[in-house]
Amino acid sequence: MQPLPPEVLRLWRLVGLAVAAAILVIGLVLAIVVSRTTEVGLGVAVIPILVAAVVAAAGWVWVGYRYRSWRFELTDEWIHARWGVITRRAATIPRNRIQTLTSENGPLDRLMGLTSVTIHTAGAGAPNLDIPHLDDATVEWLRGELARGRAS
Amino acid sequence: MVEPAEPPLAELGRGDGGTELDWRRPHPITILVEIGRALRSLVVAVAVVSGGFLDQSSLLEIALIAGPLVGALARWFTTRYAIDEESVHHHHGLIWRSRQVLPRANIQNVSTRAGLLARVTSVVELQISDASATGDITIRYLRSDEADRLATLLRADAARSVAAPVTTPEGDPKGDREEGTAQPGEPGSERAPDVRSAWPEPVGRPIEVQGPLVATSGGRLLWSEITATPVLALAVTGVAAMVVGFLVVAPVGETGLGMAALISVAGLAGPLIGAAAIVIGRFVTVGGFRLFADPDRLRIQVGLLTEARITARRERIQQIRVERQLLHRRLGIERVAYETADLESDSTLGTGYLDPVADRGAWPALAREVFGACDLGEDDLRPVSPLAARRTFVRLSLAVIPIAAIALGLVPLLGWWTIAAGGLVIAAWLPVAWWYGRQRARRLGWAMSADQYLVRSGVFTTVLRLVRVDKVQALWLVASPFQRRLDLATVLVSTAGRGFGGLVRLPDLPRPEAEALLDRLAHRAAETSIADTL
Repeated sequence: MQPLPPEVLRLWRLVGLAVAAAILVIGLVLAIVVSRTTEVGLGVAVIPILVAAVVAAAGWVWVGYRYRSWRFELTDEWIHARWGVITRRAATIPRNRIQTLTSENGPLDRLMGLTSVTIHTAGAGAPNLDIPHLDDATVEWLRGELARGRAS
Repeated sequence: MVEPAEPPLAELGRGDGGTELDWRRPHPITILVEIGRALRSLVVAVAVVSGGFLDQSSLLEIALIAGPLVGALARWFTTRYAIDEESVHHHHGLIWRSRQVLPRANIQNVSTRAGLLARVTSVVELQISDASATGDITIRYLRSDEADRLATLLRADAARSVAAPVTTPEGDPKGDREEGTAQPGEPGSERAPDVRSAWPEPVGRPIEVQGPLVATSGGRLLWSEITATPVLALAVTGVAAMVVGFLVVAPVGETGLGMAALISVAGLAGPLIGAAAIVIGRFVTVGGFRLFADPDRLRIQVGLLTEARITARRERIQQIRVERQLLHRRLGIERVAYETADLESDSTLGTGYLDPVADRGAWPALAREVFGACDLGEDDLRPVSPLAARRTFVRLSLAVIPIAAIALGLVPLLGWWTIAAGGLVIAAWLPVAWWYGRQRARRLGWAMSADQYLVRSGVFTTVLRLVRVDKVQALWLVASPFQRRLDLATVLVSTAGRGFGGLVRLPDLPRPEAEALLDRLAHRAAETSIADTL
């Protein structure tokens, strides 16, 4: 089974740091507002700094586990994926059950040459299989393989 | 926009890796239609700005008015579609770019739609549906004749996908498959019949010659509804409310005996009225139930006030569900229902009853009627891991934490006696949790033959689910932290059925056994053409 591209780890860590930065900025702004409008001193700014640091550190570690948990493979009969840190999940979809393949990428994904793929089946009540952030070449290959497999 | 030459219907571009696809955009009039759809926000924006509710900075005005215009232009510019020999391709999105690829052989339905503004401008929306709930492609907006041309072409694909022959992975027609061909590790493979031959020979008696296969009497149905668990629960709630009202509320409120009686009757009346409403509603809806079995379909007549006539094609039936509620188990009653893929536009229900008041143990006969064979019974069920009882007990025991927290939290308000009360609740809860865990583990069971998969679950309401293995769409294996610690896993199987929530769940199998089961189901499912699964 193959892992996600290494760029995904960088992307997720970048997003985690961006979230921590956003928390820091918003927290500092609030701290300044609070310190100017109340008796509370500017020392309250330590709180958002600490929170942002914890979020950044925890996110950094969490992303590593999350990246390592992702594996997928496409065989002649099915597509198989497994993921999950706390609750581990594995999905097996026979190739002849795949209805549609949808791919999506945002600005950061395009910057890194990544695309997320959703595999739809006729299964009601079952969530689609979402494979995050594959490289474009793998997505094209997957698309071609599935189209060929379904048409045969 | 350059008008392309009219290609033959069967040839709309080639799709070798996407490099030679004949990409097209929707009709430019889409921009006007999209702007028209955004008129509502424009009207609101103009009203807000001109009403002076916002600071009338020119930048804000421009943003509010230009936003929908720019959005419509951007949507049109970034939307493209292409149809090649194998698939329909659809690109859209500016910031978040989405690309859909729908194989033409998977097309189930093609429809066109036009709102008022679209009709005025002679464009339509083309919707291409597959069998999934989320994979549809919607192309806005095309010229009417272009949309009709594409719809005609793609509807031919939809018709072919329904009539597709059953094939093995090697491509040979399944009629050439040897009887009893075994797959490695597949139990009961000597009984593996051809899918098509599993449909019953004319066991179905034409209605004109024979009566219904199942006919439910009113008295039996009424008795079944009165003894159903929700009704009993409401009745018990009503009695409890009456007792509490008489013995607790009235004395605390220092009311007289008359008022106490009134309070207690009021406490009883609400739940009883609810219970009566349920019984009457169900009786009216399910009363007069009759099931007729034709060679290729089941016909159901049901309803006392409004009679519904339901037709379910046998090959669309995905799953049979047997339900035994608490008191019904004692009374020897069960409810047997089916679930279909419900893909036809003229089908109104995804589920229906095969028998709303069957004798206990009658379900295999009904399953044979529907599936042509019933390979499995409750005697074939294998248990899940004995550790399932422990896992359930541990999960339920977590309720001790909020109980203790509430008890401690109430100490400042009500005194230290709340700790004793909390301790009593916990002491009563733990044995119940232990009992429930053992019962749950005892009732969980599964069985699999070459063609069918049976799962049993439930403590207070026992549920049996019988699924045709070739109807399986996707398989999932889930292991929570608790389960991983005990080396357990849950197997989830999805079919195309719409009525029962779609998933058949088997929790707490030993992990190696769960993986082996998943593997066997996946192999068997992969052997069946998609056309036979819907």
